[in-house]
Amino acid sequence: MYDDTGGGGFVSQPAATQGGGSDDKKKGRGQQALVPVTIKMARTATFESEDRWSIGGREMSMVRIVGNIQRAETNATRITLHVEDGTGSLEATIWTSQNDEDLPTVAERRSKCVAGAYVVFHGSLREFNGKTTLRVVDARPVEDFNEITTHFLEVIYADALYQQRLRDPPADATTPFGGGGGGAAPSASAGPMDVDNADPTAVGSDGMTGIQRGVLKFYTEYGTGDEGLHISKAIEGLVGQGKFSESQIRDAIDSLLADGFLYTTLDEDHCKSTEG
Amino acid sequence: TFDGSALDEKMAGAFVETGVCAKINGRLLQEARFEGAAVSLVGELRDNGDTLQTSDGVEVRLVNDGSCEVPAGGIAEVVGVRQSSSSVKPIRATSFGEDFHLKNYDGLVELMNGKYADKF
Repeated sequence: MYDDTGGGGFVSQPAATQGGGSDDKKKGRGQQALVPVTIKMARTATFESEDRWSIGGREMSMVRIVGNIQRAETNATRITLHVEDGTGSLEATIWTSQNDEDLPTVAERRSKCVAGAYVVFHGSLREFNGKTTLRVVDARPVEDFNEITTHFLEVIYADALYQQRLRDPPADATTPFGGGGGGAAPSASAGPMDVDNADPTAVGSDGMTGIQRGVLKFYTEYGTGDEGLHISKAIEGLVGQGKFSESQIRDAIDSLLADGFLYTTLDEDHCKSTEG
Repeated sequence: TFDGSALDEKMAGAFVETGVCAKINGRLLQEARFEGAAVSLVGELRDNGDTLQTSDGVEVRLVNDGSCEVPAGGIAEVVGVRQSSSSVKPIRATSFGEDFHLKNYDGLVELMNGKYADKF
């Protein structure tokens, strides 16, 4: 799962390689969006605008937090969860809408987010009355508690790799973590370049394989409704593009779900991208 | 004699307010800097919930006045107020299931209290 070059998909490129053109408006931030953080880190976020913020100088558009719910408050428009992870506490807001009535897995997942439960949150940070809050995109109860260990290890890993790249920006993306080499050899690295020219199984500098990137892009472009896309539609469309096999696509979807780039909506067969 | 229970209440209240506790193990619990502090220990519950064998194999006594529900066994996280170098008064106890890897977690504890302490 881990690759030394990509940082598990959590590492932003610290150098500003984008020209800042108008096509950046939609996603005018550091390249790789999703970063695992502790609540202590999240509370240090500085906001340039409502939806543009950074932690420790690092821009990001989505965070993952794993914490314990202290209490939950529900009103007509939202559920407010008071969450602690031992490093601090934070309010996480789930905006409820009438569309959600139609999504049984969302309702079921949400019903498990009660006081005392450990929950994995994906969302964006917001500033409200001078305090940082989490605007929840996805919340699911922890089922395998090793996830807690993994999350905090990934917090450390992603940050350490990012700091190392700040000090020592790689010309290519093959700098191993810790700078020492040794351990398992990372797979051949490619930048996030045109999928057609690269080995689709190679892990790029953003931590994704070409297949994962292609699959995620498909979901981002075509799964724009609340339900996202049914897996059969995604497979049909992607196989139709002629680049990947069905089993490659299914594996990629599993990885993207595990890493939080896709989340399930209506049921286990419907997924939506967390990007865009 | 000094009645520590008021201080324990205050520390428990502080944890509820701030969500901050030290994520440690049995070895670290012995350090003076955690005196009276809110701490989190993960380990295996023994003696019907009276003892926690921490992720680094240390036996810690759980001094429960009945205000906290502690499972009778299994792997759990116990958040509480340190009473002594080998005892904790529990505030909340969460079952971590049967498949939890204590050794991995203990490695994480050393990182969280060492090189990467500023993130935690």
